[in-house]
Amino acid sequence: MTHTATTPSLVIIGAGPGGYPAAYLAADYGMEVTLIDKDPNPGGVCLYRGCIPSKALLHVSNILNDANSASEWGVQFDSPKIHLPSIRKQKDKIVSRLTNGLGAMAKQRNVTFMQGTAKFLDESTVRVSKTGDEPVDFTFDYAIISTGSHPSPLPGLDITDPRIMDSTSALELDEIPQSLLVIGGGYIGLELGSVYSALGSDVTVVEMANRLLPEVDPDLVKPLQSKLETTFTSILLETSVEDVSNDGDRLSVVMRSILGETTTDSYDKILVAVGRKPFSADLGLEMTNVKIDQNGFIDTNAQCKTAHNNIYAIGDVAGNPMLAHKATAEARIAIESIQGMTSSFDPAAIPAIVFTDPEIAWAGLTESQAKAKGISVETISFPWIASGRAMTVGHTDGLTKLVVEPSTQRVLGVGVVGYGAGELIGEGVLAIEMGSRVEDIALSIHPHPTLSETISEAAHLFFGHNPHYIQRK
Amino acid sequence: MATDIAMPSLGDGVSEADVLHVLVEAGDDIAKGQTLIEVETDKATVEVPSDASGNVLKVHVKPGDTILGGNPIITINESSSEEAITSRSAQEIDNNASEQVPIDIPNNQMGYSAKPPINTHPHTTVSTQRETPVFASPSIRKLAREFGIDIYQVPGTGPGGRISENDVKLFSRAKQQTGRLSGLPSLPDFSTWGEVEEQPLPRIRKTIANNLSTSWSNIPHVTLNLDTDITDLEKTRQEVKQKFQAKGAKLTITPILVKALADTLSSHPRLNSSIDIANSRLILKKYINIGIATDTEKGLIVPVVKSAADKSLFDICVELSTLAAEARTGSIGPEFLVAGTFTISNLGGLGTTHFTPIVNFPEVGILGVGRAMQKPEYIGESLSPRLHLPLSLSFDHRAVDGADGAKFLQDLGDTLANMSLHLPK
Repeated sequence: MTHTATTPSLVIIGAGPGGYPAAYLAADYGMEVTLIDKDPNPGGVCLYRGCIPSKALLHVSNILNDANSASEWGVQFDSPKIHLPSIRKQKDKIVSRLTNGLGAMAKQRNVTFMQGTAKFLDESTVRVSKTGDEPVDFTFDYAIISTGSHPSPLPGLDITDPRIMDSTSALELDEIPQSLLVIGGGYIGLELGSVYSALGSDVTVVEMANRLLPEVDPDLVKPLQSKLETTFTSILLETSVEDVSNDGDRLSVVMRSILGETTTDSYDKILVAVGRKPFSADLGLEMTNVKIDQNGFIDTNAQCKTAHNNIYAIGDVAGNPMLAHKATAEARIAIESIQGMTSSFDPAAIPAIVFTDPEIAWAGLTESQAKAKGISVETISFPWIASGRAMTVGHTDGLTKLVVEPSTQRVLGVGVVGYGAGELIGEGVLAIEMGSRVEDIALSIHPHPTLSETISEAAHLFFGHNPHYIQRK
Repeated sequence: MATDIAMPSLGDGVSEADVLHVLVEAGDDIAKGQTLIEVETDKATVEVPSDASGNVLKVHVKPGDTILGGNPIITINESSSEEAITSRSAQEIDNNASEQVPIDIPNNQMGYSAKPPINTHPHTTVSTQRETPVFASPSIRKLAREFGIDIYQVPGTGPGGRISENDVKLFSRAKQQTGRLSGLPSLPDFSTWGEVEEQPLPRIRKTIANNLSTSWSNIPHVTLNLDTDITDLEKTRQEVKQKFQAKGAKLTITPILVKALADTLSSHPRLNSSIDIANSRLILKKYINIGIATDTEKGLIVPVVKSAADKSLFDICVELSTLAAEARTGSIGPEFLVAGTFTISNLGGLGTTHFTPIVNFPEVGILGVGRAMQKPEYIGESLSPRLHLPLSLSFDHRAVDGADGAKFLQDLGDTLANMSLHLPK
């Protein structure tokens, strides 16, 4: 198949939250676009086996948690009856509704969607293969690689067993194991661990670092850790998994603490959540001069362009943070660059959210990063114990924190832990991107009674006066 | 720990400088290399950078001060890496931290005065590091990209030094102007055709070049020429010269020109003004300070006789001798090199006749003076030798119309011609 000479052609490999927005924007600019993905519709990991299904399941766990704590409010529910097939059906319904919608959108924009795997044959040809079909070769003027990432396997774990899950299989929710070992105390492990815990599993988390969510400021992790210590069976820090073996009905796991003590325990299932790896192998990149770094990320510049002039890379495959909204933002930069516009990926803040109970969300510079880089900052935190709204929703285990540049008093970072923190962080992103000073936030009237008020409360506290909270000195 | 940051030596015979701008305030966090003050020496305007990072405790200078090498500029609390973070977490605050960052909760006054005022000087936020994002919103960053400028170089004028759309546009315009200057065609390799010697441009030469480029590219110049008859003036001057000499003053033509010019300017205020196009106004100065372009070994400098209209010819003579001597030895104080309202450039001693002087921006006029020459002139029916002094007036045509300039020059010529009547005999 060859393209017509008049309209520039674009091939996009991977139809996740980087690939499909790139395809639709390019089509709106009049390019001839072919979008390729392994799945039957656009959506990628985010919609099929990531953000969306996990949030659907976390909604279930929130319902269960709310019902459980309703007795404090004088409402007593019977023990919930959990019907797994219905939960799966509800989750799958959301996924197919969204992905079908994206498929229809592709048609409306005249984007050619092809299911299959793609490989570069040379610097202007891509071969798309699909089981049972003849491979199809496309020549392109431009290509975008947006192949995303996949769960990392546990290094040294050499047995394959259906009871050892990664995030993808965990989201399938085949059954609720009596006991579950989550290897990895990052956001994926904690989110899915929370789901299984709410559905009745005894969850143990094992993490090599000395705390959960090592990239998040400790003061923001603290309320979550306290909560998880009550809902999870145990949290093993500074501990690594040495060996996993088949022990009949269960899996036997040998773990070693930082002090060198080894313990052996057995679990019904294991979830490996030790991070994600970029999907850059088997793409035929060696046939192009696209460069990849030692971690497998494709090297790109601020225009999302690879070492090859006509090949771009966006999303997880192009580097950290591996977040859907970063991919979507890069999609716009890549297409605008192809269009010859002076676009550049230069965000002041890329927000991140851990959808646990309580949620943790942050954007911009964290206090830990400032410390590590030697950047002088002041921080101010408003505890949710002083928020009326937090009390009325029964979630006072929260904290809203601003990271401030002393010389200008502008906000460089915002961190929130608490109920619905993810919905609050958007204001933090806007504040950072707009170069808001703490005073701008303090002087912006926030609605009462809401959790968003905690952001302005923190800003007022920065200036030493807050009607709801007196700072201990 | 508290440390003083002192004025560095300015070297090369320069012992003192005038503080023009102070770019930091108490409470500011400053980085090593950040500009603290701008000073003016008799040679140039210099930015003085900080040689340490920290929080400013006290500023010791203010604009207008004269500062010597070694004098303290500011006192800072020098930052070490341990002190880089000042956490004020409501839950984890400790006593030491709260002492370091006093946040008084005022009992009977509220508002935002509890924090030290932040610096809003337009020149303060040229980012020196890129670890923190630039202080500009995404649309402004995009605008900078579209203009092809590095936004990290744009000084912000907004609160706290935030970069506005206007800041980007002004920076872009300024860059284009510099670009025009630096965008001159490159020079050929002259050594191809013979031996050459290269001399680096001293600072004063670069300053002169910049000032003249500013004048030449901004001021629409008009030059009018006139010969004035100074036969009688010269005769009288020779007569009274001895008297001045006896009292230690040298009566040359220059002090006479200063006096005549000052008197004439008194009745032509427009020639003693500055035009402010940006704010659509003409600024008329009620003082007349005459600058004298003076050739020195290092280059052109312009000492200024202040309030020349109010001074006697004798006083002007004495002052000019001192200024010229100091200018030539380089010992002249910077206060004698500023505030001029009109300039005289006398090339008569070098044999020149009429020429086209360049206005000394932001003044609006300059008087060029050539060598006086004997010329035959009809007085009635008979020819007689008369001494003529060539005068060339260049003026800023934006501020002064041609007719006004011509009237001024005519009046000046008449004043000089009749000056003999006013010399103390």
